[in-house]
Amino acid sequence: MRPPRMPAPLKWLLGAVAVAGIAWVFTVPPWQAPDEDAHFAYVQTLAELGRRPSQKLRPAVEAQKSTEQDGAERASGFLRSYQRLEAQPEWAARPERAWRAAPEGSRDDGGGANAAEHYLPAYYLYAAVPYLAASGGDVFDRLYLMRLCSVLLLLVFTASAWLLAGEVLGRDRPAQLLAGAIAGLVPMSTFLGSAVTPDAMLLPVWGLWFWLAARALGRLQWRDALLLAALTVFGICVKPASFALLPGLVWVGVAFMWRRAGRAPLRPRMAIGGSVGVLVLGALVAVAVAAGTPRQLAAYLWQFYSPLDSSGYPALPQWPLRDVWLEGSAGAFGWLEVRFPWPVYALVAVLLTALVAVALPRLRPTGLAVAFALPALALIAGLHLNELDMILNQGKAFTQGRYLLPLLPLVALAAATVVRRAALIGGLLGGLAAWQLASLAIVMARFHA
Amino acid sequence: MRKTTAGIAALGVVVVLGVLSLLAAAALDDRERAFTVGLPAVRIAAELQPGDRACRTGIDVPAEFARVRLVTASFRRPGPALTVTAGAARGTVAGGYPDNSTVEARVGPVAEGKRITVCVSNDGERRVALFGSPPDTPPYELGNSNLGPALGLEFLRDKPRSMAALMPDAFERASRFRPAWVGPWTFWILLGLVAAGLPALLAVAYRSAVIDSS
Repeated sequence: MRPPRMPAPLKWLLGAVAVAGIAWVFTVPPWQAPDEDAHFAYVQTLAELGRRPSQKLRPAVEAQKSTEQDGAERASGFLRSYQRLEAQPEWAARPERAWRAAPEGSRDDGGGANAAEHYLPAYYLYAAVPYLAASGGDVFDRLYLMRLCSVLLLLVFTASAWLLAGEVLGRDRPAQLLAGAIAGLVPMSTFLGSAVTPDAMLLPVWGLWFWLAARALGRLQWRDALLLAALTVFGICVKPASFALLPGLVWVGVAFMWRRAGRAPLRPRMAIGGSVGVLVLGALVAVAVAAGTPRQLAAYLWQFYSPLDSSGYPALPQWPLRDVWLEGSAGAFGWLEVRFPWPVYALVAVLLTALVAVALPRLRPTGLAVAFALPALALIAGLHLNELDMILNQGKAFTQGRYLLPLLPLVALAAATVVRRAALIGGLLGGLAAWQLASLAIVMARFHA
Repeated sequence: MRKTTAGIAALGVVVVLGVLSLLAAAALDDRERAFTVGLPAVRIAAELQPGDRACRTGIDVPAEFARVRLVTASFRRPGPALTVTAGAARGTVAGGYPDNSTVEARVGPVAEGKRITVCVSNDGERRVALFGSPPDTPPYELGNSNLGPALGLEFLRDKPRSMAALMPDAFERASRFRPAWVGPWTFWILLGLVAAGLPALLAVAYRSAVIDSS
C-alpha cells in the first residue's frame, strides 16, 4: 500500500514553520529557554553515563552539570544574564576565542540532581540522538543540533492541527491551513518547539491525541482507539502534565465502546449529563487533593482570576490571569523575561475574546466536545492544584502560561471553525508572519543589542 | 480565483503593515546602554573610605562607550566626589548626590575591542558604598554570602543609537557561542527568510489550499 501523499498546502505550510523554527534555533542564545540548561544536562547524562540524573548518585549541587557545560555557560555569559534584563550574554570576541582555545572540559562528571530529574526519559532519549550524532563537535554543536531536531517535532505539531481540523471539519484546506499555521506559528509555540525541552515533544503528543480522539469517535476503528491509549501512556513518559489526558481517554473509551456496540451516538442531554458528572467528580477530587485547604483553594482561585485582589498570596503576580495565562502563553521568551509592550497582549486578549464569543454559541454538546474539554479542564485544574500546593508548602508560584500551549490545537480548531472569509484567513496568516518577525526582533534586541 | 486574491491581498497588507511598524519601532528605539557588567547591583561590592579605591579588572569592551554608571549608597548623607577611570579614560562624579542613588561619570570615548580595568576612587571626606553582584552567578545564588560581589557597572554611549542602526552589531554578537560555522551572515539570511520567505510560503500555501479545495 502506498503511503498517503502529503497535500501541497501542508508542504508549503511546513516549509514556513521550518523557516520560523530555524530562525528561533539560532536567534536564542545558548540555554536561554526555560530550564534548557537542565534539559541539556539530562540528555548529556543519558548519553554519557547511560542513566537519568540522580541525587543519590551525585549528591553535590555542582554535579548537576558537567564541567564542559558549566564552563560553556560561564564563558558564554549565560549564568550571569539569564532572567536578568539588565545583563547580556557575552558579546566580546576575545572570550569566545579563549574558550575555543582551551581544552574541552569533561562531559561525564555531571549527572547529579537537577530541575528535570523527575521527568521520564521519552523526550531525552529522542534528544540524545542528535547529541550523539554531533558528539565529535563542541558543546554548542550538540546543543544547536538538538534544537534543530526539536523543529522536526514542531512540524509534527503543525501537521497534527492540520489533521485535527480535517477530521472535524472535513476536507477544507483553507481551514486546515489556518489551524496548522496557528499551531506552528504562534510565537510561543515556535519558541518552545525550537528549544531543548520536553515541551517540544509534549505539544505534538497533545495535538496528535486530539486528532486521534476525533478519529476514534468518528470512525470507530480499534486501531485509532489503541493508538490513542498508547499515545496517552507515551505522553505521560514525556511530561507528567499528560496525566491530564487520562479523563479524556476514559471518556473516549466509554463513548467508543458504546458506539461499537451499535448504539446511537450519545444524545446531547447524555453528553451534558456525563460531562457535568465528570466535572463535579473532578471538583470533588480537587478539593480532596487540596485536603484541608478548600478555603485556601477558593482564595487562590479568586486571586488568580480576579483583577480586584492581589493581596492573599504574595508569591502570585499582580493579576495571574493576565500576567501568567495571557502574557505567558502569548509571548514570554528567554526565561520568560522578554515580553512585548502591553498593547500587544491587549490585542491578543481582544482576539481571543472575540473567538470565544463567536465559537461558544456554535459548540454542540457532543461526545467529541466532552473528549476535548476533559483534558483541557484536567490540565488547568492540575496546574492550579500543583501551584496551590507549592505556594502553601514552599511559598513560591509555579504556573506558567506556556503550560497551556498543549491546548493550542483546540484554539486553532475553534479559529478554523469560525473564520471562513478568505480575507480574514489571509489577514490572520499575515498576522502570524508579522508576529513571528516581531517576536524574533524583541529577542534579538534583548540579547544582542 | 477571487478567494485567492482576497486572501493573499489581506495577507500581504497585514505583513507590510507589520514590517513597517517594526521598522518604525526599530528606528525609534534609542539605546543608550552599550553594555553592563556585574548587574543587578544587589549587594555592596566595595565600601570606600576617603582616599580608597576599588577596581574591576578584565572587562572586555564589546561596544564603544563614553560614560560609566554606578549604584552607590552614602549612609544617609550626601555622597562624596568620585573619580572613575576606565583604561586610559578618566572622569569624575561631583559630590553631594543623594544616598542610594545611581551616579554617572563621563570618561570620554573608549573604543570597542579593548580589555580594560575600571577603578573608582573616593575623593571626598565621607565613606561611600558601591553595589554589584557576584560574577557568573545564577539569579538564585545572588544572595549567597559565600560568593563575593564585584562592582556593578553600566557603560553608556555618548549618543544613543537606534535598534535599527545596531542591527549589524547585533548579528555579529548573535554569532558568538554558536556552532563554529554560524556567522553574522546567518542572521542576515534568516532575516530575509522570515521577513519575506515566510509570508511568501504562507501565500503559496493559501493559494494551493484554495485550489485544492475547489
